[in-house]
Amino acid sequence: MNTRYRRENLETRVERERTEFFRDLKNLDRRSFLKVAAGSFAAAAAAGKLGLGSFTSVAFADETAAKVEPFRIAYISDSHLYVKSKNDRFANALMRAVDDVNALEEQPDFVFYGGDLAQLGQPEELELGAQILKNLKAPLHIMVGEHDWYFDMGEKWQSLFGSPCWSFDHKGVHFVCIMSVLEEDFWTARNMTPLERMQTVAGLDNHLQRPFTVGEATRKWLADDLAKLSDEQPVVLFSHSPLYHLYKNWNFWTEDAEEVQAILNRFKTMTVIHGHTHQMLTNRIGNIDFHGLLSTAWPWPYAPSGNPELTVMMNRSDPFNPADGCGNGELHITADGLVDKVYKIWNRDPILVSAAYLASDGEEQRPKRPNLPSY
Amino acid sequence: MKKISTVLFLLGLGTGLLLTLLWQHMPEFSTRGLAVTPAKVRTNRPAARAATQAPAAAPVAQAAATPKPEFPGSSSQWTRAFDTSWVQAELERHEIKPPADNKPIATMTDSQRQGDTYGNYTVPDTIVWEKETERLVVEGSLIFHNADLLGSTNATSCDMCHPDAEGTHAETYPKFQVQLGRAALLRDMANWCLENPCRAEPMSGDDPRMRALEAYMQAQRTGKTMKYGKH
Amino acid sequence: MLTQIISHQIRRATGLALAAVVLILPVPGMSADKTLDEHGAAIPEVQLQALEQLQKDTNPYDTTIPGVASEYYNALVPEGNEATPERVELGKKLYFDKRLSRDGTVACASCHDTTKAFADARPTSEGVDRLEDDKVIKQFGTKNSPTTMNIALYHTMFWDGRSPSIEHQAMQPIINPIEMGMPMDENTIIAGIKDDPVYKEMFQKAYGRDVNYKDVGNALAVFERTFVFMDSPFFRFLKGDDNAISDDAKAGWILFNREGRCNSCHQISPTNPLGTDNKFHNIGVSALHQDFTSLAQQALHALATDSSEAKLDELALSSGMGELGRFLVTKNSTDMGAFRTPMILNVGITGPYMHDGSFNTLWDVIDHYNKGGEPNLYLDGGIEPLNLTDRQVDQLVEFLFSLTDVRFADANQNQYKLQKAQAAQSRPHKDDAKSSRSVLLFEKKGEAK
Repeated sequence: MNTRYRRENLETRVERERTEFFRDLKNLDRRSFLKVAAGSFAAAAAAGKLGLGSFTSVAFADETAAKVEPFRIAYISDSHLYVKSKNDRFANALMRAVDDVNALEEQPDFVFYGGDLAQLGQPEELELGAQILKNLKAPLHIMVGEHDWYFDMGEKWQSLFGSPCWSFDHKGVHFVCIMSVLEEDFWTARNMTPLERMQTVAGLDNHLQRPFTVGEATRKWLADDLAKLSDEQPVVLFSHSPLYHLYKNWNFWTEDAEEVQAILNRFKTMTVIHGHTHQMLTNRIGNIDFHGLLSTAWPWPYAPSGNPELTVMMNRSDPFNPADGCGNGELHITADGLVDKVYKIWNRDPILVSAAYLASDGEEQRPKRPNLPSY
Repeated sequence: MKKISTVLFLLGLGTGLLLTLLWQHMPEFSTRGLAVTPAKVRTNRPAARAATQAPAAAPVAQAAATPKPEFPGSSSQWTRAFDTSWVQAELERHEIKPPADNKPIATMTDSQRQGDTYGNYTVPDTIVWEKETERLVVEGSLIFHNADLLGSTNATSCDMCHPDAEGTHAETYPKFQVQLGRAALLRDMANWCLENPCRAEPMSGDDPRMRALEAYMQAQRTGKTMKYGKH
Repeated sequence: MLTQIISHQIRRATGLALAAVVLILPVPGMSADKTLDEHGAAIPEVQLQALEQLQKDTNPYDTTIPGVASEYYNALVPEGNEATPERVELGKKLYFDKRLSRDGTVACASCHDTTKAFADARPTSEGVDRLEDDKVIKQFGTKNSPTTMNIALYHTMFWDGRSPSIEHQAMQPIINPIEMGMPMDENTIIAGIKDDPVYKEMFQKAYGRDVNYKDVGNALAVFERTFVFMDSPFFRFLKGDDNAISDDAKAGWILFNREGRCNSCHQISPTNPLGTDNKFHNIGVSALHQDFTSLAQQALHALATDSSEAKLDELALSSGMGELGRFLVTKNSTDMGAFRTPMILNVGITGPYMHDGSFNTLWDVIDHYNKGGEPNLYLDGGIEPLNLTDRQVDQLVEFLFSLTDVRFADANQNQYKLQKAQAAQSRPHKDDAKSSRSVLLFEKKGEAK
């Protein structure tokens, strides 16, 4: 460790950089600001670095070729709430996530909630979640997870949030959400109470529960919903279970994945955004891009087997920081209608997994490798 | 029949007394600097250390402040010796790695034995080993997945971050545990997790629950290479 | 802006007044007036005497730390600057030499005063005066002066860790416009000392070179490495003396490792006895006194733009920039508002506390942690409400006071009494609703049941 004596030492350099550092942007109009910001965004994205909570510009493509006017969605997912008195951490984390999203300088077009709002599907838990999410400035669209469902088979959740299957079009992209955590009845034969049923499903490694499925009825609903769309139509599908086969022991799995993928495969621009896995997860099967969502409550370890090749694992989390490995993020819809996925892990650098990374089969724009790999 | 039960009673009494004696003098942590006897230190949490489970007739020296949930196995294995349905139920719920197969070293049957009393084992012997080991590990799995048995005050159980004990890395201990700021054993880190994410009371190394938890974590990491110190 | 500056001044003035009341460590047998210079530091004669007194039973040339693995220690000493008696003597002379400042009034010893636990017992430090339209303006920095005791084992220097070694750090205050005010020019810096024949000889003996700026830093570092003050009642307890500390302090040590969650950042082990992980954490102190989130967002805004096209905006932000901490060094957003975990050795006598010296007592410090810090977008997630009772907070504080070297026993006892009295009067950072988790850190009022 040799001390280097430079012409300008660190002390004055820091002083000078401090004063040069902050700029008044009054003279730049919005469009040129965006252009400038886009350039640095691209550079930052290439380096795998993005400003947390800052203005992040949208990726600019040549306007004439654009299918879609790019826009941003924020997401929060998998909060697993207990009532505050039972577990304060999970509630606090969801409140923090809401603060994060509200603090974004440019608000997203809408906020997507990825499921598992409650931990044991209790009415109080769902109400607490609904109450906290009400503080979001941007409009909310919410998906159901297994933890929301199996206490009362979705009764409370549906009374609060409506149907678990929905779709709408926004700025040229078709958004569709399905209920993909349907399980075969394992509880009746065992005479389980609703709570026992819920607790069984709540155990990630509990084998009494059955694999997740989308099920025939929902598959039909999905096929009908997508029927009129052309193959060129960009589609983003929200699902709680991953819609492929990763690790059956933990229900990182959708039993009828192949049937669902068969419905989706004809679309040239198809992205599946899924919850449940509480980690950075990236996959591509045929035409379909798959992205996982972060949880606000806790990170899951990576499965012992079955992790998709394209997945660059997130940095190993430190349990001293209950927020480590957790967070929220953004979906940047590109001009092509694909998704650039931003993972904003708390107290860590945000990570971008871009559509280009997936399209190039992992050759371009590789996300930053973790310093501390999982083992 | 009466003789056997008397013997068992005296055995249980003796064990109970011995354990309570040991309990009172047990230091709280393994390093010198933290060896403070419980009597001198008062923390805010209620004394959740229940008396070890001796048969009902033996006097209990230290009463529990809050009644501990019952769980199978541990030193009460004698009271639940003939009810192993919980083992089967737990095996149905969670995948638990089986202990090593020792049958290859069983060279003869007891009826074939001639001399070499300490030099060989039989197949029934290996079955006893397997069953007893399995019971301890399965007990660990039961506790690992149950926030109440762990004593968690915020409904958090180990499997919420460590499904199937993934990420517990039992094969890397002893190592410098960053969260503790010192070199630690698996049980020290388990205790840290109990206190921090789970907000439970830490367990002493002799606590039957800790023994079972360690057994389970080590069992699940079977087959991994031992590499102590690995971060 | 103006109100921020004014309130900042008011706060500093109040802090100073409080500090003066609470934290003056009297030197026995001397009246306060004659022994302090114009900036409030003890005069060199007094400081030298105090240092001699402190080092009377130890070898003043010894920089080794007993118990610490030499491999670890040596990894932190730059090559070529190993300790020798000549270098210690040179460093000592330089440490107290005010000729290294622009107006000859400030030396290292001004803010790292041997009579004030090698710090200055103020929230932030006073440097050289500034002339503005014939008026003399006193200058104060924005950071609390850390103690120079035991710094040989720090991995980086400064609250934001921008110096990799003491050698490098020691050179910086000299050219800081607020601290010692020298211009960035070697000739001017050593002008006051280079013609001194004593110095010429000492530099030759120590480094075989002429008087030069870099060796000023080197010698100062060697001298500062002799400030080893780790003989605390607590370490004596660890080594086997059960009577060295009180039962409450022992209870505090247990809390430190358990409910307090202190040991994860303030790591103590025989190899690393300082009580620091040498990492940078945002615990929310920056968010206490200003709109930290806006400040941070402005910083990130600037980061996203092309800097060569932009205009300067000094007034708005120059007084608040230091609050961004490690971010200014790494430009990494996750370092926003993060400051280095300071050592806890001798913490009883090195108040006021935190990077801006805004915490007067150790009770304030524990109260801050107990309630989970101050919420902000970049809060380190490891900080969370601890739900400690008043008694447990007292025990933790008692433990912290047991970390002071026995040679400062009187000052420590004095501090304890003063801080306890002040804490009995007011606990501005205490928030029972937050500590008990009945109101969550990120909760809006009445948001959740």
